[in-house]
Amino acid sequence: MSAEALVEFRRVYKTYADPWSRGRDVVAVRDATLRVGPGEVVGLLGPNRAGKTTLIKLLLGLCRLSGGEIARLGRPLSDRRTLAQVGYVHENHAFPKYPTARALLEFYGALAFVPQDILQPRIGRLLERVGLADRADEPIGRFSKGMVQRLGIAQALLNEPRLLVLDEPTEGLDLSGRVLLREVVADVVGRGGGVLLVSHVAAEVEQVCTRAVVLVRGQVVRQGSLAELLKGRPLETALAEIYQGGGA
Amino acid sequence: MTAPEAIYTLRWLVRDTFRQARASGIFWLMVGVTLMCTLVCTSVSVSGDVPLGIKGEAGIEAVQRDDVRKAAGVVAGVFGQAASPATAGLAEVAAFQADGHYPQYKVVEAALRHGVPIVQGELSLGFGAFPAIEVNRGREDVVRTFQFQLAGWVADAFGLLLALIWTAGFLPAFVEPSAVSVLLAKPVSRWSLLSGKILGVLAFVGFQVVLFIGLTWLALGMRTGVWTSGYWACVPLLLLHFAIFFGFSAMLAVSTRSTVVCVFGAIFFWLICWAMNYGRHALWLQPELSDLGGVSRFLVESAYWILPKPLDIHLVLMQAIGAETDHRDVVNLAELTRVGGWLPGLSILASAVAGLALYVAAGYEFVTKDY
Repeated sequence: MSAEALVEFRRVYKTYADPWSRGRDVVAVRDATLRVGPGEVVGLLGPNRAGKTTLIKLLLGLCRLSGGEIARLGRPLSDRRTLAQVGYVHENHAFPKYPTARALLEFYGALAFVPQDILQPRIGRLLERVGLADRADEPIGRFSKGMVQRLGIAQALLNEPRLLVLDEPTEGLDLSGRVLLREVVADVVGRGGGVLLVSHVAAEVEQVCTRAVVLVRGQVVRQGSLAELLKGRPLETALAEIYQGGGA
Repeated sequence: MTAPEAIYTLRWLVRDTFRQARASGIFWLMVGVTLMCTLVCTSVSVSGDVPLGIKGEAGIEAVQRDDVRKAAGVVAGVFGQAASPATAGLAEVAAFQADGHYPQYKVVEAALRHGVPIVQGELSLGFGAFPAIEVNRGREDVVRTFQFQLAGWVADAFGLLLALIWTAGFLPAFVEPSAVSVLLAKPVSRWSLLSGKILGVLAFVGFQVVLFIGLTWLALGMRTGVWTSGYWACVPLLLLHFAIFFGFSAMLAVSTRSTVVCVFGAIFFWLICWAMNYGRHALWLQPELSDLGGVSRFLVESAYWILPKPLDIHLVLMQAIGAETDHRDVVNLAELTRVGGWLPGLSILASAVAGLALYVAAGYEFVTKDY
């Protein structure tokens, strides 16, 4: 595997046992190969149940690999220390409702092993940045969905990640939230990091991604720069053609 | 993950669980129950009891007959050393308790009629606001009995069920995929995440147990002058009892992620174990059941030793406090010991192993599950 890649999937398979069909497994990802290099923003595109989120879960160690290899920051998945340099924004954060925003960030920052003397001032700056500074000491149970999603972005940045993984990050975000997200992506790339983005919002992909990987039924059917993929067409049109053609 | 990192992770998870307990209200509810019980203890006073000791020892020599000595032993067992074998009429007292189930007032009447010096003290509650209760035993026995009511019933029954029900939601919420995904994407191991959360719940319950036992012990000691050390043995026993059944709740939590399943599952399991435990002792104590087939007996014994034993923990707690002479109604422990069915150390160890197995099963499920 190439040492400079932040993420590298090589011939990755993921199957799940299907409780309804005896002995037959469901294939979620089939023979997927892709990479994310420094300074790249790679969009994972595809219809529902294409295997996009499964790829992210495999990368983060949320589910186990059935076959193939994945390298995270140049190291095998079993090396969980590399997760200290990864930020993850979930599509629908279900944070506990009892802590305040500040307490939650302290907790997640501690679990990412960010030293306390760095963490405390960083929490203040991040709360300011995501527009929650004035609600920092309120329990999360009082937050709207958009505020929770902003908090999710803040927790992903606590460790100043080299790799940012975004799974439908604009769910519940208003316009200013989307602008904030674009700035965050630009910051990570500016520091030499990389971003892996799953999104159904075409405008978002077109605005931030440098490359795209299209998945259909668990298989990578197309990947390349956004310009190669679009060939002058709107993204939605290009994707519709790819999906109909089964990737041909 | 290094050991200091693991300890650091556990510390933060314990801290987070205490925060969750405060927010859910159980922290303050349990502190409230403790303070109420402490208040009751500070309102207790014992008066009129006499110093204990064997009286009229000279009379013993004159009546050295086996039946009288046996009866004297029985009465001494019932009333402690306050009952002196100073009279030959003790055989009548013995007759009342032949099967271990007797109306105590009849024994007292008989003992008094035959000149056995029964302690005639009074226990008052609510700083004397309630009518005083006559107690036929010494001050220390009264305190031990009171401690057993607190530890054996308030804490070991009501407190245990309350804690099991209230904390049953902690783990399902923790392992819910959209909540745990972000935690699993941190550089900490799955084992340490689950261990930290479980340790947090156990630390919280342990804190409440120490508070309950400590404050009630202090209040009773200050009011009665009796400072019993056995009461402190309730701390590990109560915590063990909770930990075992929380282990079952944890296993259900990682498997089903349902609070409802955890609440009802843990209580149902506790009832099953209690019934199994009681049934096994009944089998040893009922001669009419002794003709039960060998296979049935083997199955009962196997289930008894495999499952956790909540009744045994309760009985060991009673013994630790020293209140056993007053509570023969659950199981006749003296008889069970005589027939060889009571092995407290082994029973506690087997219960602890069963609890540990439940935690290992929960951990394995959590570590190997796809989220």
